[in-house]
Amino acid sequence: MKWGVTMIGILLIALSVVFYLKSFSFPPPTGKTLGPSVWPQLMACLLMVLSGLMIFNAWRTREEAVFKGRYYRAALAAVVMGLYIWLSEIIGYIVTTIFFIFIILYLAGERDWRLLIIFPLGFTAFLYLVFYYLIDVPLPAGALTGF
Amino acid sequence: MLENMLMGFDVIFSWQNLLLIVLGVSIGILVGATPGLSGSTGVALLLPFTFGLPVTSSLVVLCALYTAAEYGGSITAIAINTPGTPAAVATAFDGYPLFQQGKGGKALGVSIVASTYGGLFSTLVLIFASVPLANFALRFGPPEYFALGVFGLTIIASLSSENWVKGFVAAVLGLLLKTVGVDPFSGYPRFIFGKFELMNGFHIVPVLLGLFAVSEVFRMLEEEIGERKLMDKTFGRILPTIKEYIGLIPTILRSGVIGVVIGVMPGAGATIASLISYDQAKKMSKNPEKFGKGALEGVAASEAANNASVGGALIPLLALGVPGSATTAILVGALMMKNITPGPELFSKMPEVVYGLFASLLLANIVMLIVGLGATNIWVRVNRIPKTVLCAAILAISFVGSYAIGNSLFDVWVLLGFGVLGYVFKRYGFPVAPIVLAMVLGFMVESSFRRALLTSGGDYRIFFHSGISVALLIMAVISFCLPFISEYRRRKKARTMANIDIER
Repeated sequence: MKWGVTMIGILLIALSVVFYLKSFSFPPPTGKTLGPSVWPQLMACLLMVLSGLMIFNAWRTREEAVFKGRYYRAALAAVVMGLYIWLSEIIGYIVTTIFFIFIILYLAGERDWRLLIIFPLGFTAFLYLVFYYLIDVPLPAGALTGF
Repeated sequence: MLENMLMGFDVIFSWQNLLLIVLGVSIGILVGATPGLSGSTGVALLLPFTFGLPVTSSLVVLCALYTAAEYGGSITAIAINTPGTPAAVATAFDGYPLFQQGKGGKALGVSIVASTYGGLFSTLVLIFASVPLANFALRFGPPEYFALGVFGLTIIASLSSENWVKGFVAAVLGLLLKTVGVDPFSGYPRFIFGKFELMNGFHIVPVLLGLFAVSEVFRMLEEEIGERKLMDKTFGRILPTIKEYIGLIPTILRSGVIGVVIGVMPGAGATIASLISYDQAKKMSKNPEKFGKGALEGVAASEAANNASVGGALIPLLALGVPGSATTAILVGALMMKNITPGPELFSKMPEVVYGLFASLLLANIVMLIVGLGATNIWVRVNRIPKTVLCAAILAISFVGSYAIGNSLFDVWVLLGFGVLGYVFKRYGFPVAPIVLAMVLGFMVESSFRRALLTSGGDYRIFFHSGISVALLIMAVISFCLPFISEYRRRKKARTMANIDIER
C-alpha cells in the first residue's frame, strides 16, 4: 500500500513540475490582471505539497489496500481496450466491437458458449442501431473493410 | 410560481416525455437493483443515449433514473442482503431479517411507500427552496462565486475519504487538469502539448464515464467473480397493513427531513443520509432492541431518507450551479453538453427547463410507486444478469458514448486514461468524486478568482469585502479542519477508553 501511494505521489509531483515549468512559456498578463499562468502555478504548487504530505503520511501510518485481487486482469482489460480503440479505425466499429465484447466476457470468466456467441453479436447490433441510425453518429468505419 | 409550475407540467405532458419518465424509472430500478451498478454509474451510462434529445427530455429521463435507483437498491438489500446501491446498506439491516421471516412483501411495501414519500417531499422542498435561493444568489459577484466554489470543493474533499490528504489531492488534481485548454481570458491554449483536440480541454463525458464506469469495470474484473446469490424465497403476498403504515408515519416524516437536509450538504449524499436516519429512528424508537431483527421502522427510515436526499442534492445544483455529489456533477455534464451552465440565471432564462424538471420529478415518483408495486418480482430477477455481461456492456457503452460527443477517437483515449486513473485511485483508497467535482467547478473557480482580482485591480482584500464571501470562506476553513477535529476526538476517546482499561 505505502509503495503504491508513494508511486502515485511521485507521479503527481512529476505532473505538477511539468505543468509548473510549462506555464512559464505562457504570455505575460496585460495590465493589472492575472495572466494565464498564475492559477495553474498555484494549483501545481498545492498538488506538490499535498502529494509530499501524502507520501509522508503513508510511511507513518499503516493502511491496507482497498481491494486486492488479480490486478493483472484489470491491466489486461485496459490493454485490450487500447487495442480496441486503435483497431476500430483500421478494421471498423462493427467487427472490433464484436471481438472486444467477446474477449471481455471471456476475461471476466464467462464460459457459457451460448452467451459468448449471442451477447457480442446482439449487443453490437443494439449499439449500432441506436447510435448509428437513431442518434446519427458516424461510427468509425474500417479503412480495410469499409464498415 | 404556480403559473410556472403549470407551464412545467405543460412541458412534461407530451407522450414522449411521459414515456421517458416510465423508461427512466424502469431503468433506474433495474440499475439500483443491480449490485455493482450505482445510481451515478447508471446516470453516466445513460447520458450518451440522450445526446439526440432536447435538454428538458434529457434531464427528465436522467433524473427519473437517479430517483428510481435509490428505491431499486432496496430490492436486493431485502431479498439477498446485498444492497444494490451503497445507500441501501441500512435497508438491509432490517429488510433482510424481515425477508427471512417470510415478510419480504411487507418490507418491500414499506420501502416503496417510504421512498415515494421521501422523493415527493424532497421535490416539494426543492421547488420551494430553490427559487428564493436562486433569487438570493443573483446578487453573487465573482468573489462570492469563488468562495462558494472553494467551500464546495473543500467540504467534498474532506468528507469523501477517510484519509483527508487523498481527498484534497484528488480535488487539486481535478483543478489542475481543468486548466488544460484555451484560457478564456487571454485566448492562450494552455498545456495542450501539441494536441489540437485538447483546445477545449478534456470533454466532461469521457471523464465521467472513465472515472465512474470504466474504472468500476476494472475493479469488478480484479475481484473474484463469485457465485451469484439467489433468492431462497419469494417475497410473499403479505403486504403491510394500514395500521402498520400509520405507525410508521412519524419515522417517515422525520427521515424525509433528515434526507433533504443531508442531501443539500455538498459531499454528504444518500448513503450518509440513510445511515443517520436509521440511527435516529433507532434512538427515537420505543423498542430499539427490535432494530436489526426486522423492524419496519428501520426499512422506512433508510428508504425515506435516501430518496429524500435526491431533491436535497438538486437544490444547490439548480439554485447556485454548484453540484454537491457525483450524480449531480453528471447532471451538470448533461447540461454542459447542450451548452447550458446551471445557476441562478437558469430560472429566468430557461424557466421551461427548471419547472419542467420539477414537474417531471413529481411525476417520476408517482410512476415509481406504480411500477414498483406492480412488478417487484421482475426487478428481483435482475440479479440474474451475469457480472460478465455487465462488464462487457459497460465498456462497450462507454466507448460509443465517448466517441459520439465529438465523433473522435481522441475522446475514447481520454476515456481510457481516466478509467485507468480512476481504477488506480480507487485501488489505493483515493476518492474519485472530488476529481469530477473539481473538473466541473474548476472553470467557475478560476474565472471568478481572476475576474474578482480584475475588478479590484489585483487587491486580494476583495475576497473579504462582502459578508457572504467571508462566511463561505470561513465555512471552507471549518470543513478543511473537520478531519482534524474528528481525528482529535477519536484519539481522545481512544485514550479515555485505554485509561478505563488500565483502571480496571
